[in-house]
Amino acid sequence: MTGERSENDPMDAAVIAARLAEIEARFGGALTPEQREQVRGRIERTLKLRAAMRTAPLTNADEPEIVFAPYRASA
Amino acid sequence: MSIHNRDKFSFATVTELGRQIRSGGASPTELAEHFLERLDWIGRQLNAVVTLTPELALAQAAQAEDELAAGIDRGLLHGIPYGAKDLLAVSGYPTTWGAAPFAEQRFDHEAAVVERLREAGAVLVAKLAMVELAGGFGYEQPNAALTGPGRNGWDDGSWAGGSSSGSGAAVAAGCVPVTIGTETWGSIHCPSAFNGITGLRPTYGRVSRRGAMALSWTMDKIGPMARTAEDCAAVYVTIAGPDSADPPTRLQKDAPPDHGEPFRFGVVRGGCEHAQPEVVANAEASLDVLREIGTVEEVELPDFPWDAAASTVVIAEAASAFEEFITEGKAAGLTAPEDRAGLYHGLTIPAVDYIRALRIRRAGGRAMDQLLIRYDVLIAPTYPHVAPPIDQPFATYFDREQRRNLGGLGNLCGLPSISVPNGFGERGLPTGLELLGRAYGEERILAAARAFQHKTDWHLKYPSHHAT
Repeated sequence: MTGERSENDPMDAAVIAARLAEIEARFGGALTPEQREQVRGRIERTLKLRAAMRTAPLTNADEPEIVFAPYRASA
Repeated sequence: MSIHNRDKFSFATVTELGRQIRSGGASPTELAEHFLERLDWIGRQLNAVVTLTPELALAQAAQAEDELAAGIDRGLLHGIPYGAKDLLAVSGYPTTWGAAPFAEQRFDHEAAVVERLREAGAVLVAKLAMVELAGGFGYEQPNAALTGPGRNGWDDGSWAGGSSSGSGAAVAAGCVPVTIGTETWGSIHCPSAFNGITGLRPTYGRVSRRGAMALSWTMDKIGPMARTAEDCAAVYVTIAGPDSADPPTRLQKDAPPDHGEPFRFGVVRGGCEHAQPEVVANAEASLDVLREIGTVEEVELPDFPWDAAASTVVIAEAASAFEEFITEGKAAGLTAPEDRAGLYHGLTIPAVDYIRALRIRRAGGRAMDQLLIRYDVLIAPTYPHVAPPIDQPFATYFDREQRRNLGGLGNLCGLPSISVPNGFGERGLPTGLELLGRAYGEERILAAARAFQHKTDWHLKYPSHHAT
């Protein structure tokens, strides 16, 4: 399974722009133009991952694989 | 090729070295000195070494010698030299995580695996090179390590693989008989396959991660890399087991005792797609061998977005594990230019995407277990290609999106797997075969790998230009 959406999708393009803006707001001065392009490409890839994951037919009953054990010290 | 008389230690297995120690053919001190010398000479040429540990090694070797002389035998690893990937803490020495910003980092404790190997009498001779921060920042070419690009044990113009680069190259070049590597996604199997050695990735939670760098809390595993499955088994049984400081190790389940041959092999449909011709030919020849020890059927993997979920987990967890390092601008000190801004995107992944990946892990893990009830071992080429050239971006040699067979699902679901050498391919470089098993089924995949190696001799091959 692979993600089909990309920067060409208007909604994805908006999300990419928003996430890039968040990163630039936090670290903008630290990014060179080349790094900015690299970060943009990697954000785009995470959106493809997101789209690919939405192809899995999960239901409300499909829980995340998390084991949480409330802590109590032995003493 | 067989072990050359002039160099009876360098390419010997742990089992053979143990026999030599007990027959008087070698002393632990002699072995420690021999491998320290080779690491300093050949290992450094391959950029496989971060730090040699001669003071510790010679003290441990002397202790092993004294104990064995007094009739105290701690088992197969007693007096055997080993190397550890440099993300495992060892007090008294730097633990660099392969990264320049951590070049002076020191811990006052030792990793659980180092502790267990010490208790078994093994002798630590070196901390070995690795891709910076275990490759979590998205490196795209081999020059992504504090110690320079990891060179392949068979050809120093090719990459050693990553992220346990030094561990793979050092074993292949006869610089150490066994090493401890780690894998989040491919970091034991890649250098094992590329260097023609055997690498075991245990079930998630089998081996304590205490004292190891965290890249991905739910995907990091620690395992042995050696010449043979038998040697991997000897180390595995030593380092595996519960540790109160690493909660997932307390959830381990027992698998039934192994029942030997015949094995039920499932060959992954499409597993050779996009593979180099020699990789395909070697896989087909390997299947002929497997038919001698079991049944072989083609299987269809459950249809889940394995790689997307695994990527999401690793990126999100790594971004969290290194959030301060990233936000404080320290990634600018990394070696690979593409790593310096490599995880900013991970800071923007929504929680709902991460949780979706964990839901896929649960549903997919159950589907895989149902499949693995019917088959003892799933089979596919470890990688569809041999090691890429050392001086080129990976993208010029292979498509990373097409490189994955069992890696994404195996690591997402935490399943045990072993890579064994199964021939040679382009540029005379080794190829590997992956054997993946059911959760906590290490014994079964080790038995299958041992049976395969009893009928083949790929694990006995070594780069003759490194023999002395």
